[in-house]
Amino acid sequence: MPQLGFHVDMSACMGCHTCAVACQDRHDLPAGQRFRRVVEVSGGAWATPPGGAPVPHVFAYYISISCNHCEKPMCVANCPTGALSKRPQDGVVTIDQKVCIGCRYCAWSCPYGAPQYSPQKGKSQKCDLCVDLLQRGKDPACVSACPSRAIHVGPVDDLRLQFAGSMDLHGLPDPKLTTPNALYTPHKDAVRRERP
Amino acid sequence: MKRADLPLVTFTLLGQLALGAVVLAAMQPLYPAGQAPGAVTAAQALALAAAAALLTGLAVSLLHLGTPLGAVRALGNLGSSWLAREVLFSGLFAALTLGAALSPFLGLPTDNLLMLSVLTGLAAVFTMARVYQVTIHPAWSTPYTAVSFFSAAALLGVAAGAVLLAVLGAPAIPLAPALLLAGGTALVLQLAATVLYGLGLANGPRAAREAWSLLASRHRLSVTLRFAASLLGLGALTFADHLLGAGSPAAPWLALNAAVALVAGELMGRLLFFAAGVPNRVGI
Repeated sequence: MPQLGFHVDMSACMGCHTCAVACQDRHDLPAGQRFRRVVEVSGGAWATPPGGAPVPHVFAYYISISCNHCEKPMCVANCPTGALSKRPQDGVVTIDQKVCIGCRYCAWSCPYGAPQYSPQKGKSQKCDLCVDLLQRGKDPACVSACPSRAIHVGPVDDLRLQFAGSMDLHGLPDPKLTTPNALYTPHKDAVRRERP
Repeated sequence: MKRADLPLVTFTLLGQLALGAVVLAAMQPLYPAGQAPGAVTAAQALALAAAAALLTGLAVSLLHLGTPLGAVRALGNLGSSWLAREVLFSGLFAALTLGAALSPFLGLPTDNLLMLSVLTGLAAVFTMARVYQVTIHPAWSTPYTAVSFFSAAALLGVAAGAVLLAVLGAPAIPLAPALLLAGGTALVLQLAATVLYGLGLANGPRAAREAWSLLASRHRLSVTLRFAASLLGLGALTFADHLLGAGSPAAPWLALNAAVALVAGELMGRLLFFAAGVPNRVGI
């Protein structure tokens, strides 16, 4: 089976957080722990042209983010116990809860904030792409819950053929760090360029 | 800085103190002839103190774990994890240092064990630095981390030497010039590295600039006090050496205060290091 991954259409995301809530509910996570999060990126300033009134040059958009099941996952390389691994059959990065000791080094290693420490369990946990649902022919909770149909899942090579997108966007960490297996169709203001 | 990081502050500082103390202990063949019996005792006392510091540090580091009873599993990924290697070398360092301290009772060669302790200690502090360098924190992913950790080992070793001077007195072990040279070099190196580190952070990516902003504004006083404490410690040690030579009863007290100032400086430095740990993250 090829490498699986997510595609997110940032231009369709309205920041409703339904994906995050659905994921939290599906995995029965306590408040504060979210395998999928929605991050608002905003900025800009007011500009006053000579002799004119102030004009807003501001922007705001949302990034729905979870684990990107990276090609070179730093969390897997850095985990001292070997609890984190990349499944050979579909490239999904998982944490073996029986092996994890809750050292939180995976959280220090992931630029996307995917592995998260659970104080209740004393271990780290993360998005597993809802592989149990995928095996039953269903979509992950975040995908099926999104009212804008902005999130898609599938073999990442197919997603790259189907959608235009990138991971080198304003608000996302440098993709060279971990080579993420995900794709974002950018919001118009997310394309990397110098900000005013 | 998070409260969960405090065990790591303790572990790294005690590990580096142990390296400094063991290097000092390994210098015993260089002690003046005629002082050998006393020098050997001092070396073993230093090794015992280093082993106690290391074992305490390792025990405290367990408090950082969510599942401390599984700590031995931290050796499971030596192939790619610097944290696993740090645990391995720190454990070896502790065992060898304890062996050196107890060598007269165990019939083992003290000199050889001390040399092996120094080598594993150097490896332990190197892996300790690598653990922080391969993370998503720009303030840690720089050569400054290694410079900071090794210079901390030197200055904490000087603090251990100051305690030794206070206990044994200058005529027994005339170590002060070597201590001052090592401490002065480490402090100058650390100051120079801090300037380069600051420039690197100020001109780095957003998370690096946030870290720089924290150090340059909110923690500016702490940064100043951190270096002032180290400078004060070395100054007090210089004066204590002078008083020891003159046989002043105030000398041991002053040497102990020098050690306290040096430890305080390194403690503040390490707290600042963790405070600057702003991660690269989504949304910035």
